[in-house]
Amino acid sequence: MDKNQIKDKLLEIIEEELPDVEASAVDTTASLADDYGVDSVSLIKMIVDAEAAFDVKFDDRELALNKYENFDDVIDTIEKKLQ
Amino acid sequence: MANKVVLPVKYPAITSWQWHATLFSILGDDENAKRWIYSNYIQLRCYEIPEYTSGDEILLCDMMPGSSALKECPYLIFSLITKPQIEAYCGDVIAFIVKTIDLGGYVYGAFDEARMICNASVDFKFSHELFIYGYNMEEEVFYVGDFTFKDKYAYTTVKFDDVKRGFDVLSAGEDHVFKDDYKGTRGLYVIQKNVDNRYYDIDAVLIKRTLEEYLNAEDTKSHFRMMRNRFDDTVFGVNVYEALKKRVDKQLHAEEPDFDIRALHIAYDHKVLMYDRLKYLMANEVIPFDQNMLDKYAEVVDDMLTARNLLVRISVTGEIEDGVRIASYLDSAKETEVAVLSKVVEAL
Repeated sequence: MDKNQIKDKLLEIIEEELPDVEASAVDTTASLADDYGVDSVSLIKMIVDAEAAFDVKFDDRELALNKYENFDDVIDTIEKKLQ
Repeated sequence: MANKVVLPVKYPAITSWQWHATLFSILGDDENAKRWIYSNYIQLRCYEIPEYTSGDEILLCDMMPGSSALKECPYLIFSLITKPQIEAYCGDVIAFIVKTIDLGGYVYGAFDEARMICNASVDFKFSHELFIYGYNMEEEVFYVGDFTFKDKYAYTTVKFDDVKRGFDVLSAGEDHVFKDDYKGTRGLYVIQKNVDNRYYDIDAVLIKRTLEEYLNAEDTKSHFRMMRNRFDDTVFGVNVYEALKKRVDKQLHAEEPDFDIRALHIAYDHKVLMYDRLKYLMANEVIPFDQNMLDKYAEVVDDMLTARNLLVRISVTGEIEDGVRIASYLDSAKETEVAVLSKVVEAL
């Protein structure tokens, strides 16, 4: 699965977990917390959804919001897990 | 009266409880206030208590000082105004809040936030503290800081009428802010910032003594028995780790598992503040600079954050068996924290 495919799949998850956000308008380089209001709980929900969607496992320390500045960081983490 | 007045606030470093979020919102990064803040909030304590909204037993965990800090902090001027006073002085609560803000006062008190969100006739009341720091006459809104309206601590606006309704429907016995300390009255706090002069110095003696009490799990509340002596079932200091482990095990293995993260979250906030304190004490040459000490304490912060996040994860996945790892993160945090803080005590 290439990076764009990961991004498309993640955008579906983002739209589901952040109802105010429209997938087509997401800037994956923008700040998770400041621009999209992502908090610890919503991030963990997205990670759990991503684990199921990509058949990967995030370790406990990868659940922290401060590990990711933007959605690109989440995409990179998933990409590494898929390699 | 102005059209719009918004008193200064800064998003708080710790948000565990509304009283902390309020104090840190007002005092923010004030250099004078830091001398008091970093000399306090060292001891951690917890006890089991029925939640005032649901009656369900919770582990109430908090730093010292807790809610009393709004009254006792030397960089705040605190006034207690009863509901009859509010009505006699201003007619109603909206006019009172507007006048208070015009005079530079923040407002804090219990409101039925269920009624503020939904103006339906329901039996359920959700009495919660609301922090008000501004108003806009044209839009008829107050600027507030709260957990209820955005699912996390956030600054937002609430309509005048919603605030009035939330205030009016709570009676004296339902006002938990006034219930214990003020003999069942009903009212509001007016809080003014008072930071122009240096009223308090960094207190290395107090810091050292309280750190020792934290490490030895001693009863810091006993210093205040002249004012408060109702509860003797409190766990202190590093013993809070064991209480947290027991609590998590109990809540995850209940017939209907409970995923309340508040106790773990305040313990995490305690570590965040302790880390900031160590940096502050080093920057002000109260203790020598020691990067290794900071790095080791950062591991404590990370362990506590991981423990809290894991409980959130379990609440999403329902994988209760993952709870054993929470205990291991707490054990790791305790071991490292005891080692670091023991060195801090030696350095003080």
